[in-house]
Amino acid sequence: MENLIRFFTKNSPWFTWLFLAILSIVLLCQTNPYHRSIWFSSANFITANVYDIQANVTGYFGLRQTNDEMLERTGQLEAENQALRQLLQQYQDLGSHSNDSVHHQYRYLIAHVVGNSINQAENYITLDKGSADGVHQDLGVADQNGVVGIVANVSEHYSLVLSVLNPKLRLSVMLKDTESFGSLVWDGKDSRYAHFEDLPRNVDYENGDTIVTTGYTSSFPKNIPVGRIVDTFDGGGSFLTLQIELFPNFNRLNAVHVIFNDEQEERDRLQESIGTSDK
Amino acid sequence: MSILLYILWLLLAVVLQVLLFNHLPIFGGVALVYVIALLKAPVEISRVVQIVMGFLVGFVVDIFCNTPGMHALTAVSVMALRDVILHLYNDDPEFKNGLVSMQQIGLSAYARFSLSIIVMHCILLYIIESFTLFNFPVLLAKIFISISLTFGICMAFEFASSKK
Repeated sequence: MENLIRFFTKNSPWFTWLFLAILSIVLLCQTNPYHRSIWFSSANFITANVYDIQANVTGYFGLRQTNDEMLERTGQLEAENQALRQLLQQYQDLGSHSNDSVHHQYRYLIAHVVGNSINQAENYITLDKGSADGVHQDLGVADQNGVVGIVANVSEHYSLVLSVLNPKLRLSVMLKDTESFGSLVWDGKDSRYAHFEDLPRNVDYENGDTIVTTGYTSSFPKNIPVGRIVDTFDGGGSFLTLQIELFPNFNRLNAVHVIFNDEQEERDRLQESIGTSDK
Repeated sequence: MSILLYILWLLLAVVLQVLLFNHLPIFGGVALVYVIALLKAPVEISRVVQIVMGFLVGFVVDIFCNTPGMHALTAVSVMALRDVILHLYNDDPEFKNGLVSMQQIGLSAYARFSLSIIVMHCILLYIIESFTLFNFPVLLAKIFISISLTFGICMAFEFASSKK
């Protein structure tokens, strides 16, 4: 017994190390960001506040370029708006549509990026909007240029977003104006590029073509821009992998919008009510 | 007194890490300046306390980086070996008190000691990271860049603080 106690006291540093190393490995193995505790992430109260203070200072850097991009985007949307207005007018003249049947399925909430990384194997973004603002898991996040990520976890006033630059995110995307779809995955190399995987070989495309969201998942509406094709990797199978240059500049994310899908909430409520009546 | 001074070093290193150096990647590698907090830990505190402290420093960095366990496992393992490595380069029996520094153990010993710790730390950290995403050239580049940046900045801090 005495020997045993002596053994433990003599080797106490190694036992401490063993205990803490096992604890770290347990934390490491919780690989699913949806199940991980929000308190161990940068969206917890203390960490997010520290990042928030920092973002208040650094948020002013690069505003000129962000502003120019926004102006350009506003111009595009203005033109699109005009075209849609004309189309709506035509339909109304035909009498096939009344004004109140125009349904607004998606809503947008402006949020600011307080924490962001681009150089890790898995990157996350911290936003300054949380459950108190209605943000919840699985909402899509985009900036003025294109898709940025999907909300993985929320605290009361902050949320943690799975960045496009995170191999755990597989986004359903397609070639614009065709219905050829595949998935967008980051390969962990460069924050400017990602891969478009599983595109059928028989599809016609050119470098420079735009990639957009499909709208198959509830997080994003159809046709939100993602990036443009810059290269093709031919693996020899029946599917191709394309190199995509991402539209958003992840190095300089500032204001983003969280996309709410009202129909999805309705669908979820419906499914929940069916679930409860079953019990 | 040296404990207070050390707490200052620790806070400075962690704050600089999460607010500044994490956001300055060079080809994917960052300077891991919080390793200073591991290097300089006063020799009078027991190894058990050093190991627990290593874990806490790593854990705080993890929370800011959204990498639960990664920096903690690295820092706790490096801290477990720190005194062993320190004894390899420093055989002065008089040195029983105070922070590990250039003035205490000499420039050459301090440089070799910190380089050994930094090399160990960077290799271990990026190997753990590569379990989620394995890419050999990227891994090598990250390790090499991080070692150079971290070593450079740690030595610069050491020179700046010893001028006083």
